[in-house]
Amino acid sequence: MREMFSDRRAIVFIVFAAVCVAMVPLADPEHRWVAWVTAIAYVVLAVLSALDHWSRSKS
Amino acid sequence: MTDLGVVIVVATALAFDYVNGFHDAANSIATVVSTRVLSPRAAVAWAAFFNFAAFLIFGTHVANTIAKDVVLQDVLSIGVVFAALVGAIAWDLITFYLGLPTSSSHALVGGVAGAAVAKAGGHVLLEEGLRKIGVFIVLSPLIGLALGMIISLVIMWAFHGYHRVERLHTGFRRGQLVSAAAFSLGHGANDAQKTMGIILAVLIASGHLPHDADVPLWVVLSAHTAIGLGTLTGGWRIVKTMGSKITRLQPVGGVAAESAAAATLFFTSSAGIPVSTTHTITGAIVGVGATHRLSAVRWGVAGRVVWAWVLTIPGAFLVSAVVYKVIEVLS
Repeated sequence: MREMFSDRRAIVFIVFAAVCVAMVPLADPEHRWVAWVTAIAYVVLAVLSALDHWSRSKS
Repeated sequence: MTDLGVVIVVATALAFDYVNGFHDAANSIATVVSTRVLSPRAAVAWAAFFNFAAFLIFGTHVANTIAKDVVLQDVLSIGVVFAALVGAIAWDLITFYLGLPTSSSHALVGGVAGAAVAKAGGHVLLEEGLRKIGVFIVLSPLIGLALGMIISLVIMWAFHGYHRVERLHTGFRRGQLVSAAAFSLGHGANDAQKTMGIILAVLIASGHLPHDADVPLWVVLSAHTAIGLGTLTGGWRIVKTMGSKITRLQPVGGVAAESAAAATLFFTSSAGIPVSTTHTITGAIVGVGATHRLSAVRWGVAGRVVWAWVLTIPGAFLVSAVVYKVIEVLS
């Protein structure tokens, strides 16, 4: 588990996802979905980056 | 006198657009130049053409946001718009001299806000419009980064079993012509419209157009011509920063970065949100670099760029406010 989160990309992307979520209440209602979709994309990228790092370190 | 003032402000706005092309549009071709797909001269001509052609595709939503959603329309006068433009141009030239890829768009928003506040106080700022712009100052590079990485991953996944590397390389070099054209269209659409917004504001403020007027065709054409000419004579200091100092790109990375940035600009231009083309392409380039590893990105340069962004709105705000006060004293 520690290995999985030692890839800095995953951590950085989680931080970016949090920034996007923080923008949701500030955005006008018409564009809130943009912040949500971007946040979800970063969560997916964080998971993929962590898996990538984990598989590399395993091999 | 009013008509002369309008002419001077319109000419200054077009000069700003030209400087914008000179300053920002150089970024739009950075990836094509750094991957050696086009020579600098050909890349500049390619981008300038698509900057101009953007008027055929996109509406004028961004222009309306700049003209009507940043400050109360009643406070806009020839002096305010002129001070805003001088502040934004001064800020652009300072950052151009320093080789920093800051945003002309945000310099313009900061300039309008600064001059208007200097004239009538903080209550003239329109919270809703500024919030919309502020949110996308943060979101646009993040969207560009995420899209840049996603497109890179999709390309890598689609072609990972393909072993004719040279052929693939050639294919993406050609593909970059299309992605660079798309990005230049997005750049022309979003950035030229900011100047249209300023000209629209001054035409409304001087009574040449009613408050609910849309952007006249001559304004649309002259703004796109000015930004195209600016691109055509664009500087190379910033191209170097964007194209090679942030991360080293291959043609496949160039296609991913430009497509990501173009998609972001197409969306924001259609939604009437003024964003920075510089922010967007920088985010996309970082996203492509981060596909491999974070150390592929030169974070020191990226950090310097971020600081320049942070300082742009307050810097242009201050310069424009001072310029407005000088105009007020002189007149």
